[in-house]
Amino acid sequence: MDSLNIKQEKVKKYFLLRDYGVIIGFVLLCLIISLATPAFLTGKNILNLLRQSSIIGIIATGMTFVILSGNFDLSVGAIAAFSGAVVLTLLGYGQSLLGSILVALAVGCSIGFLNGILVAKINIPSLIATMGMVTIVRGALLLFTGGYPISGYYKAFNYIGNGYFLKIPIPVLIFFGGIIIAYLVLTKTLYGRYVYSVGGNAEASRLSGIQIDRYKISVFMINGLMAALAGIVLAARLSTATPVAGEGYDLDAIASVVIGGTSVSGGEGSVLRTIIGVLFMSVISNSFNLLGVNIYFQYIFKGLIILAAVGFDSYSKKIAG
Amino acid sequence: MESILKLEGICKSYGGVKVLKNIDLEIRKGEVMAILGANGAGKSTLIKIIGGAHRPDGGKLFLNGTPLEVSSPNEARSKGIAVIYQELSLVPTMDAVSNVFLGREKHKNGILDKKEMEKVYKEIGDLLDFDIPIHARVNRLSIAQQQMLEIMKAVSTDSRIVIMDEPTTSLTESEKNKLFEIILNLRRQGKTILYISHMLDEVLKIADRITVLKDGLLVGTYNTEEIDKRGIIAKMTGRDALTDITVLRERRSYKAEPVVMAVSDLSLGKKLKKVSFKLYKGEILGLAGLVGSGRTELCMSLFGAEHGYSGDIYIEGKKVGIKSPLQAINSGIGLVPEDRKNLGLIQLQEVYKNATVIQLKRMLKRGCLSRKSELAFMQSVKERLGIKLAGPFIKVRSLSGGNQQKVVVSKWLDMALKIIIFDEPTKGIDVAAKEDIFRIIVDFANKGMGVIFVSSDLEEVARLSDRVLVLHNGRIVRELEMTSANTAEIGYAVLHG
Repeated sequence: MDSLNIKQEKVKKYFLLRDYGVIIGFVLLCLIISLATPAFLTGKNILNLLRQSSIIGIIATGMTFVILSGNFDLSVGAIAAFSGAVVLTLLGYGQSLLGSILVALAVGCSIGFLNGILVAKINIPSLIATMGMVTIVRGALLLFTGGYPISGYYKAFNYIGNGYFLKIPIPVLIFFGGIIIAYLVLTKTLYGRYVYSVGGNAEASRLSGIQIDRYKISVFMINGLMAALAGIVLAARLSTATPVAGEGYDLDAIASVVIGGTSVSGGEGSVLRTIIGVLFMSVISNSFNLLGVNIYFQYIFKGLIILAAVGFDSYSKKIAG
Repeated sequence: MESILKLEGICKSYGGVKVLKNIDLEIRKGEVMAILGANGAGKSTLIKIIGGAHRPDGGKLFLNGTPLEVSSPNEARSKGIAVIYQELSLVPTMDAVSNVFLGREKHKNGILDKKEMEKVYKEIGDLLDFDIPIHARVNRLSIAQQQMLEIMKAVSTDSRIVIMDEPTTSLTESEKNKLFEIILNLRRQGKTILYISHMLDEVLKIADRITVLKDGLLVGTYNTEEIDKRGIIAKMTGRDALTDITVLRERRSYKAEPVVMAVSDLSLGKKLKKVSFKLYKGEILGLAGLVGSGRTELCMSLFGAEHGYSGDIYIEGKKVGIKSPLQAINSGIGLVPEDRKNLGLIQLQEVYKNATVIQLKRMLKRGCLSRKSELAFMQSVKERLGIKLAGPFIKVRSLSGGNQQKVVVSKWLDMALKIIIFDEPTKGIDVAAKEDIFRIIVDFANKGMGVIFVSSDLEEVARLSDRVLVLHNGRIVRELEMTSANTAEIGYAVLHG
């Protein structure tokens, strides 16, 4: 009996570390860096940091839904690139700003829907299903663009990527707006509760009358939508959409979510944690640049943080039996 | 006869529940000893301890007079104890000879000595009179043949004690007879056999002695010649023909009440064969049967969790198509599943979230979840069911088995269900919580719901049920009105088939 209690205590400690470790780590990191270089805590730098995080941040917000439901999505970079190409192409044909954006978002959503069907109905593990989708989407994009970037300057569109509103860059507003909506949906709605339930235990949820396929598919659609949104913002920033845009975004987005502390096994976590994960990654890049540290160290450091963050979660679960 | 294996004072608990209490047992060299007992009596645990898969919490083991300490199945095997579990430990994608030598491959300097292994394989095959092709893929073999491979495995390690856990569950008559020949053959070679089974006829046929376990205690060991079937059942259930069990509510026949559910010719693959029965309003219908008889499959089918079944279900006279749990719930059926940890609850979530999951739609305020409503519901069910809880935000995984089960039940309160199914609701729960669960079940029935109650504990079935259906190999073989029947009769029907 005693051994059981000791084990429970140990488990509690690990889970606590996982829950608060990230925040503490983040704050510590910021403190250390602000001591190392005063340029870090300036308003200008912070805004810069936030703006650079926005694109990944938007994707990571959608990715949080997918990971909470117990799956992964590697196709977000490809969806972002595809949507960017769609919106610039339509604008090039003289379509309205709103119309072009809506169509691009719909495209992202539809690809997400396809991902969802593969995972929920055909039962392909999400890692493989979305991996396959990456190649298909990238291939389609290359066909569509002929391998060439699509460029075009449109004032209103460009404003989305480079403009400011109340001194805050628009991409940052979109990022935080997305987080707020995602937070409200996940914590305050029936839908959000069921996403957590399906991720926590799909079979038990099914036996409680939840139509798990609906939730599994819809989170991919949300993710596709957010990836498309990120792709649109990127295209607006650069006024260009290239077929290779968004490469590496999938891993960065997943990394942000897991560093933030959302569990890879599903059912636990929150978008607020994802913000921390996103900022953590950006702070590393930003500060390492400020300090003139070799960029390759960043990769190693990032990798270690990911392993540590997920490691705590996985190990706590292992010893909890 | 000298003893080859001796157990003294063996105890084992899982999570606070005592599964084996002070077992003293002596097994003689060269005998076939059968171990009998109801589900949950402790047979499997005992076997796992002897086989090295678990360590006892207390007590000692002696092998040939010397103290025996095994900390792994491999160690047990090296000491001559081989266990053939019900869930066979073969690798389905590998071939026969590789499986027989799994973990103990013969090699020369790290390179597999296939010739040697094939030679030994043939020798063992001849010895036991088996003829499974060397390179046959295990997943293409029948269960009987897979079992034979397990036996070959046991023999190839020169085991002196071979333990078989319910070996005949998936065998046909002729395959069973072949197995008995094999057991007698092994005995002739001087091996000692421990044979766990429910099948009294078989046991009386091949065992020299019989040990009966009940609720973790050793009831006794008997020579096969000195005891008969009825005698064994009496020892297993602890009851004679005249019973003396405390009944929870007045026993009566409910057949005059309206039929709340009628099932007609429900079949599911090999698991259920044309099951038909009626459930009356306010009745507690007990479902008894051995593991594998199809009880859980029946429950899951009625709840829409198992699809692909054929047959009809009528709720209050109307035919309903139940193809998903959601449809079952909408038709007024609830299920407390057998595997409460994995199917009944979301372990990593808070208790209140688990309790409200089905009825969440009713707790919305202006489209948003209302924590206030959820917590109010939680408080209400906590009081009504007697759930011991420090607070609603505790994760369900920290609760004891009994409290976890109450949380599963709480999901279904206030839902105006017509039928509720309990599948082994008291498995792994302490005595006090069990009584609470019984009272809860009786409450549901008193409110006018039809209750289906599945349990392997015959005493429980006898205490709670107004009527009992006995399932055997997917078929209903007996119906007993509990106004006149008793535990021993149920036991007889369950074991006799």
